[in-house]
Amino acid sequence: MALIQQARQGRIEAFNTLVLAHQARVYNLAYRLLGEPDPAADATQETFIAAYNNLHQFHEGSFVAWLMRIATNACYDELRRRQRRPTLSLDQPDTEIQWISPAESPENAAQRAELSRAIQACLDALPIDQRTAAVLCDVQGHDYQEIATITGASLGTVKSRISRARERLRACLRSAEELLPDAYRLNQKKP
Amino acid sequence: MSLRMFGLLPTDADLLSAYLDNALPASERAALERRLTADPNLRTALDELQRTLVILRAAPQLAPPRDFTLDPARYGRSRRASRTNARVWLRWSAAIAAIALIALVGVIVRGINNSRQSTSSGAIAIVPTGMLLTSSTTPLTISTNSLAAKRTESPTLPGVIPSTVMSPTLVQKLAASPALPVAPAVSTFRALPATQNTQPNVLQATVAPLIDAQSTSAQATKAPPTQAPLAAAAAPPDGQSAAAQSAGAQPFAPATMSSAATPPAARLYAATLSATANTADSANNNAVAIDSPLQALWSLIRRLLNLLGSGLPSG
Repeated sequence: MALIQQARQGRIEAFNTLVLAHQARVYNLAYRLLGEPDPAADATQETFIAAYNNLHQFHEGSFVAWLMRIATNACYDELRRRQRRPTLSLDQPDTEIQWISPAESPENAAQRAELSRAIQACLDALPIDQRTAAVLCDVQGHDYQEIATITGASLGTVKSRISRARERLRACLRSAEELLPDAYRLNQKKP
Repeated sequence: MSLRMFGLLPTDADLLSAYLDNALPASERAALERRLTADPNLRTALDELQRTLVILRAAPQLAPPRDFTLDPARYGRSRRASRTNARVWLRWSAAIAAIALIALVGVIVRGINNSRQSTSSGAIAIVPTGMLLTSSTTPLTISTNSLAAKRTESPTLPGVIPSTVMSPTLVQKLAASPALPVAPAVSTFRALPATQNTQPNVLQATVAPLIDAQSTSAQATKAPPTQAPLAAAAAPPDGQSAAAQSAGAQPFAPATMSSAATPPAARLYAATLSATANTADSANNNAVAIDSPLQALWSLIRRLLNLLGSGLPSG
């Protein structure tokens, strides 16, 4: 809270400390909602710029939830832009994905990449409101109340979206279980 | 495999989801646990849903491709402060501009209203503040209504010269004439309401037709000085020279001089306009000749511009 207060007074160094503390969470949310690393990076940058410019509007509550709300809106804006101006793939490789924790071995790195791609493919198939609810709840670990705050939806709506998203994801992952690492296949016993 | 394949209802998905999140009330939780014990399909659905959540929570976390910190040079305090200062200056400038605009509009509207009052009263009174017309400070008044009446009653008043139509040349000639003392040049005029034209001894200069300088001069020289000394002279463009020429003029008594010809109404108005133009030439002397709202507005704008030192060309 002290950093927020200092940042509100115009201390950019204090705000940048907050950026470094939360940029991974914001970037991962943006990546899971948008599905591509470069647009996710753009949305992340927009999120922190908007947060800095509107810091005076944050008074109380969870700073993380407030930041996630800005990030969610930035991602929605990007998705709306895509709908208005669909872009063709120019076969330009996106930024290479780096993981937070380095893989112990190349095999583990490959399995992690496969798991991430399978999850992302199933998330991309969801409606955006269910995708947001599922990512916030099951990927990022927010509780229902925080998700309601972030998305601006009611608690009941949040529960319903999460439930439907999970059911779709379960069906999707089961159909694509050959893409999953052995430890995560649904037809197996619990790992 | 969907829930229907497990023989479950859509509402069961909500119950299982909330159960896994430990978000069910105690009674619903107990009821669901009883069903889970009795229904293997429901239990299988719960297991798959639980494994789905395990997969999702195991989603690898991506490392940000770069730091998203903000550039202090662009977003730092100094820039924010300068932007704030710029906003403050902008607000103050806008406020001052708005006040100035309102004041300008007010002045213009007031000037138009004044001119309307003057024109609606049917008379224009011009008071030379920088001269003494007679022994008293009776203002020289030009009343268009009274002029018309006077024109019909006494179409020819010997010795009356329409002061408002006298050209500078004429004034100089009159001043040079020993028989016709010319009043000191008018340096400034101020408009008076026509209602002030109530004194019987007010010298009323009848606006005569546009007469040429020669005929006026001839009539002026013919007029006996004792009967018709020149009572008023319009302000020439160069008031100082006229004043110098009339410095030696003798005191004079009120009298009138007029053209012998009776002017038509159109020429009467033209004479007034001519006088207005002559008076407006001496804008630096704060001369105001209100003859129409447009002229009043123009005179007002010129005065404002003079105050601002714009140096608007006269004419």
